[in-house]
Amino acid sequence: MSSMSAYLLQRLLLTIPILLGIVILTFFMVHLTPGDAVSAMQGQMKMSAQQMEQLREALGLNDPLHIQLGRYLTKLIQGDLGRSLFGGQPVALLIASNIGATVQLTVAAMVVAIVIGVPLGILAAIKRGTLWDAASVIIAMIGVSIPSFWLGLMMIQLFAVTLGWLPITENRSARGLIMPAAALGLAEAAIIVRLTRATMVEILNADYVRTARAKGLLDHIVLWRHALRNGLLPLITMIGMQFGTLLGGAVVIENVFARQGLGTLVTQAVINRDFPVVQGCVLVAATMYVLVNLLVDIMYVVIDPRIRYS
Amino acid sequence: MTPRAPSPRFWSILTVLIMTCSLALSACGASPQQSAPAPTQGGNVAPPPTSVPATAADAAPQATKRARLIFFGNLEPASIDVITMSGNVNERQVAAQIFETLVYMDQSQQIYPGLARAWKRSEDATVWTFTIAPGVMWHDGTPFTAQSVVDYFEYVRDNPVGSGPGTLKAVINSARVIDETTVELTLTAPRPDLLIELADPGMGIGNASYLKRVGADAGFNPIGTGPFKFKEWVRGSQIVLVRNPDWTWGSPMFRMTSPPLLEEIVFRFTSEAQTRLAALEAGEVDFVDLLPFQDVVRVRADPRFTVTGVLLPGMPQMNYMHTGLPPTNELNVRKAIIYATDKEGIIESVYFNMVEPAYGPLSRVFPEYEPALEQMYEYNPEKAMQLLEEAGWRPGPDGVRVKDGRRLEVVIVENKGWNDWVYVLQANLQAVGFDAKVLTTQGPSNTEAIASGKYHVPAMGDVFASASQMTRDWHSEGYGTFPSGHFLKGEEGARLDAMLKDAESEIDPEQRKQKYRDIQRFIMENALMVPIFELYFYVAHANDLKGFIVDGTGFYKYFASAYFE
Repeated sequence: MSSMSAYLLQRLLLTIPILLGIVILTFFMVHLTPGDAVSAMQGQMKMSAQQMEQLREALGLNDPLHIQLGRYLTKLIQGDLGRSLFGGQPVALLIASNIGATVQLTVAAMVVAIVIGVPLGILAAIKRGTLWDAASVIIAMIGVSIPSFWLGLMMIQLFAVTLGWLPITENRSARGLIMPAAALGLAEAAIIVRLTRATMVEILNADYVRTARAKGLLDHIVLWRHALRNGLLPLITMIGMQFGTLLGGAVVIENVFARQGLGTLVTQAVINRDFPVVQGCVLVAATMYVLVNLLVDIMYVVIDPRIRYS
Repeated sequence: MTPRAPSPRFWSILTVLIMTCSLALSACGASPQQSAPAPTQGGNVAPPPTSVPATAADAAPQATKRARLIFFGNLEPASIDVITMSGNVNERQVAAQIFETLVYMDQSQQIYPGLARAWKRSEDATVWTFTIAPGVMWHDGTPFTAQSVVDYFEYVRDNPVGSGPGTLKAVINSARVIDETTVELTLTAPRPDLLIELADPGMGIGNASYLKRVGADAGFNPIGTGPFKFKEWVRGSQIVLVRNPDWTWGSPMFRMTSPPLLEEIVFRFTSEAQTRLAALEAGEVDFVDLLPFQDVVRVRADPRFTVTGVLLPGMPQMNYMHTGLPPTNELNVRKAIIYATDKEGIIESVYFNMVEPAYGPLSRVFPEYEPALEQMYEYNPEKAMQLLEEAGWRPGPDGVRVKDGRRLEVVIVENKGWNDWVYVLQANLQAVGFDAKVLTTQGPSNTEAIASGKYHVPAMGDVFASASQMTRDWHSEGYGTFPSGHFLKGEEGARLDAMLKDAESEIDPEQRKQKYRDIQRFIMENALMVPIFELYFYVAHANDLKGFIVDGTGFYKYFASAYFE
């Protein structure tokens, strides 16, 4: 087995205790918040105290917490994420029918962020001290300052209501993805602009870049082959970390654009104290986050052959 | 060359861009909870609301210009099973198209036959006999019979999960088939308002054998007898219903004996009100629920849309007052709170004059409404301060009144998104010497906070179609969310309990009216609540959508007879 394969196997095995820890932590966090699913149902169902107690008993909510946790973990090991306390649908089915839309939105937002952020950051670094640099700073400031939900609402007004170019509620078409992805990705683009600029400014001042230039290499070769390749490492680390931020942002954007997704699902589940759904969603989101970070580690090796895992 | 004037589109784009920039600059300092939004149209005062009945099915429509209706509601259902549904209003909204009730009630409070074509009740309203409509079929093709109704009521009675019909669990004694088309329901107590309860869209008759066979999954593939069949549910996106071509047994309320003209109804959901409105304005959807108050005037002025405002019957938006906690255990303090509350100011600044003031625990649309309450209290801060002085509450060094070393402190509970008036109330109370705090909660945490009995002035409201439902809001046993047992203790609490039970089972209409008026006076004389406003429910829809019917609560729409003109 190569050192890389051994490393990957080790990392994958390490995810098991991490995910177990997340499951247990989430379990206690959602159970420590006041109220339960029955009190959530009570808001509109007008059950008597006796009916509520019957329902709690039927759902196993009266059992001690460690019993409930044990029951949940036993099922989890068997691949059963349980059933929603509202309506009784299997959690796995609920997640399966929502995760695709969230991944689609997150990846599209990431593409928007990279496509806008990296070139603008490079431009600002090359033209530092000029109007281009100032413009990139301003764009980044605005991008970071504007809440994505508000940007989404403004986009709806402009591109859907006023111009009629883009649909608001069409979940299934590529056109329906443009506004949500842009609203979610622009704030991340702003962060990428700043990081790319800072990294590239440092690298462009490095000795080896100066040497490359002194050797008479063309500017674009120096930039693309020598500077950018090294600048990508911190950028990739940050993009991996931003994946989690985008997942969180998707919660808001999915609501604004009436999109299906894990965000909508988990928000409603938290409000309803629908513990199995909350736990299932957190577990899946955590798994995705861990896997993306693993992917980032692998990409390090691809980008920089000097890096070796053992 | 003559310069060309910019097009209206140019100005629209410019407006949005300017708005974007200005809001971006001001976003950091905004304090949405404290600021009252400005009127939407250049300072124009909005016209007072009127209860506009939605388009009634005046005559049987012959054709529809479009066959697909898209409804944009606020919250996605958790399930669409009349038994297991959580009570989310949109569950009932969707269920109202799939399931049918024994009887129907429209916005004029008239009861119509539904799956029951006729009915009679015993003198004491404990035995009810229903004659079932002939030829009705479930969506799976099996026949709907008198036995189906009995099975349903037995399922409701014996099922531990109660939802809409759950409120009747304790009332149903037995259900039996008399003959092929007749069902007899025996109750444990007189229920003169049973028909009103049965007309609730949450009381649609479910297929008990299907429910037993399929279990909770029935909520995701529901089978009813209604005008539309379930087609698909893309979670988080939409629910699609299709026309039931066999539906020829519709209630006389729909004034049609043929299947619906609409081929398909699509329900989409988002809690973001501005998105719902934008989708309507962009022509993507035909009907939006819960129009934001600040947009009513603007959308009403748009010739493409019809805006309907309906006064929702029930308990007006209000604040309970906890009589078991100091200082609201003192009658003078409770009365002072009512006198200090500027409800007209609340209506103008928070609700843009799109609602009307309330004066007691029952909406004015009910025949049992007590008009004398309108003169009982007025906005009078001086009177509030005088009452506090009389009770020994004197101004302290920081302006907050004190008595025996105790500060005049009250906690107002807000259910986020529903009780925006609480901040004005807080300011009103502070102006007369209270240390008023607001506890913001949402959904279940609100239920939890109220049921804890720890807070003085929780905000609340309720929607129902019969005065007898006051029991759930005021009886000490109540129905969980609003047990007045948390708020009214001792002898007076027991008296209110007895009055409610007595009125609930009163059969004589005049006696009943008097008893409910006595209850309302009792509540207000004891200052058990701060009435704020009558809740209006605004919806907007495309002008060419006609023929839908609004139910007795004003909340739900039936689309069986809807069409596009």
